[in-house]
Amino acid sequence: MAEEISLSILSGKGGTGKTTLAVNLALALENVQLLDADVEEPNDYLFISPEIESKETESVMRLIPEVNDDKCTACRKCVDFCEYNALAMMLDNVLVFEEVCHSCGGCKIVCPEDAITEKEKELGKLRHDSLSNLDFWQGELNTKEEKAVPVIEKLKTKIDRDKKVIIDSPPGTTCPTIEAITDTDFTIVVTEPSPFGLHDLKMVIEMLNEIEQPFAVVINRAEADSDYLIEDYCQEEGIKIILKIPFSRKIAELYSEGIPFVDKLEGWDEKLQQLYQEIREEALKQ
Amino acid sequence: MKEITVISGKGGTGKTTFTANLASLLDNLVVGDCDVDAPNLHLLLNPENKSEAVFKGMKLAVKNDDLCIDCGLCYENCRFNAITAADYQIKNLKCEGCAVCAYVCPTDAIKMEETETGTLYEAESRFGEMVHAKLIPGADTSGKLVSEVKNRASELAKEKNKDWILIDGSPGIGCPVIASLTGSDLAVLVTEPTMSGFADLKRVMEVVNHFKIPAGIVINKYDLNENISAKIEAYAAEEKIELLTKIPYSRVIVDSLKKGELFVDNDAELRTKMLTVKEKLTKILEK
Amino acid sequence: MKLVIPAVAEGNMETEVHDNFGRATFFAFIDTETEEIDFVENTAAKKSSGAGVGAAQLCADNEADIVTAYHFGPKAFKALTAAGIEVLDLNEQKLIKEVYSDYKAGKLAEAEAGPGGHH
Repeated sequence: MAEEISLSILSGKGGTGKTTLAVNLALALENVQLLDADVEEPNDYLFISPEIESKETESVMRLIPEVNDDKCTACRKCVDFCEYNALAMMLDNVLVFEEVCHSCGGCKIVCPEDAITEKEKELGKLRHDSLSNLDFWQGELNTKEEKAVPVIEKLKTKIDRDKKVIIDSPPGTTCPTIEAITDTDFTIVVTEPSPFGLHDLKMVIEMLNEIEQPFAVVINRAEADSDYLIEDYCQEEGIKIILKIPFSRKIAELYSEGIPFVDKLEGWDEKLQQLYQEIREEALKQ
Repeated sequence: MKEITVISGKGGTGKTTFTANLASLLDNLVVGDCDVDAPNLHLLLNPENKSEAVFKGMKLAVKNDDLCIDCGLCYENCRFNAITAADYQIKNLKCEGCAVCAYVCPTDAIKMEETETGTLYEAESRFGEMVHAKLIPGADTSGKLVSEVKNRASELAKEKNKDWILIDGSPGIGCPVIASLTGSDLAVLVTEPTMSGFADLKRVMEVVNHFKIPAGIVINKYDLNENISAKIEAYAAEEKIELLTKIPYSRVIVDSLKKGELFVDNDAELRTKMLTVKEKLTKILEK
Repeated sequence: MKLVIPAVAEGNMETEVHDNFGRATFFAFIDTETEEIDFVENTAAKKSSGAGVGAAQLCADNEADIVTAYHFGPKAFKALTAAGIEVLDLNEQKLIKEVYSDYKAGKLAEAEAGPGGHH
């Protein structure tokens, strides 16, 4: 077994503090890899590598059908087969709507005339930056593209198991989220002590239990008088709360400026290093 | 009858909190929660559900093991890794419903069946009727479910002769947001003064512009970064979008939310701000 | 000429216009010569994606000449124009008969493609 572990960081919805935790944890550790898998709204780069757009990129491609009009007999089998309405037959010509195409390849299989071939189209990109102690990868979905899963799959091929791996996963409970956390050793769920936070936390936990993923909870914007909202629930369910990041105007201000709080607030480096060690022990036990 | 949709682009800007507080100040309304990924509005409005309906989304592959001859064609042709290599079982969470496996199966062992993707609720809150929905985990965000919530809200509004429909829109800039805005008379954009908040505001505004409907901006927690707030104000002035209000980073708002209460009930100054928003919205819609 | 108007239900000239082209429940087909009105169910609305394209296909299959709606997504717009169908924008009209009379009065403007969804 590798010495280090891989962690995925997740929240029920955006704006909960997932990015804050992922970035600060990565910066507090050494020999670490941070993968931003929130491919629709990758934000980690703002704190880690603001110039990422000028760094090396790698395309993630998908296949799109192309119809050879000379061979096509307008039989319409492809149009009728497509579950996504990505093909239409207009005046005996097949139109392809690339954005709705799911790249399933079905039209090519059903075409009796061999009139359909496939071409590659860029779905998204991976970007990479190497900092002294931190290997940073970001997945990014091109605008007008919807399918995040293949970008996340490709991003995960960059995982280096000799390093501590942190995956900032997309929020919510949909397929891209599940893809991002699958195969990670442990998941951290970030929530906040409010009825909204509790509600979204429950949704996420339902999903994590379904896929049998080990996890623990971090309370962001924690406050003595309201943490019970989350604590009571976690105690009842036997869920561990492994960290509280306090409600602090300072942290919110730093965030708005794109400054990681470990750089400005004392003691957090050690606290986050300790957090990793605790999770590591917990994960290796399982 | 006028329909207002509240959107934000980025998550966590306070869109839902704003919507709930505005709802309490509008008379004779129907509320719709189109944030079907993370529906939270009911936590502040505490509606009582009156009826619910199962929402069926896409079809998924279902295999009959008795007919399967283990030929492996389904596995070879599936582009989504949705079929296990060992025993050709379908992984529901991976299946995209394309039907290729059902097509290539020589023994008709695989059928496509509609599956439940969520639940649609009709409810009664102290401010009026409310329509909301919940997706099951692993189900994909669907513009179809958003449209369903909106259709139901607008039917209810017509039946009961309402003056307002207030929609808590979906986050992001994709299909669900477009479905949230379709048919609305006005868009309210709730933003916050962060780099990502401002960037998302501009992106979501592009979507709003295509609908040729008026828009208003709310800057939440404006005093967290007055520099970026000023930029947002300048942007609003340039684009001729009305600035509806600036809400401070406030203890009262945080505390109200934690108790599941409305901040307009706990702070006179904030209440006045929200009443001004209501006046401004009414005025924009009268034009 | 066949004029198509998205409708909230199967009905008549008094039926309300649906505000969403792809997700309309029915389409009213009006024969502008005879003024007869037919309703066709929009089966595309039930698909989880590409409703606009599916609805455009349905209009083309039923030999529409002109299609009206409050808003066309880019894909529906492309599909309809590829079929040689004229695409017109609605604005204030609430009932099918209002759309029809505005059409006859030449008050409907040519549509442009707006932003579209994927689902």
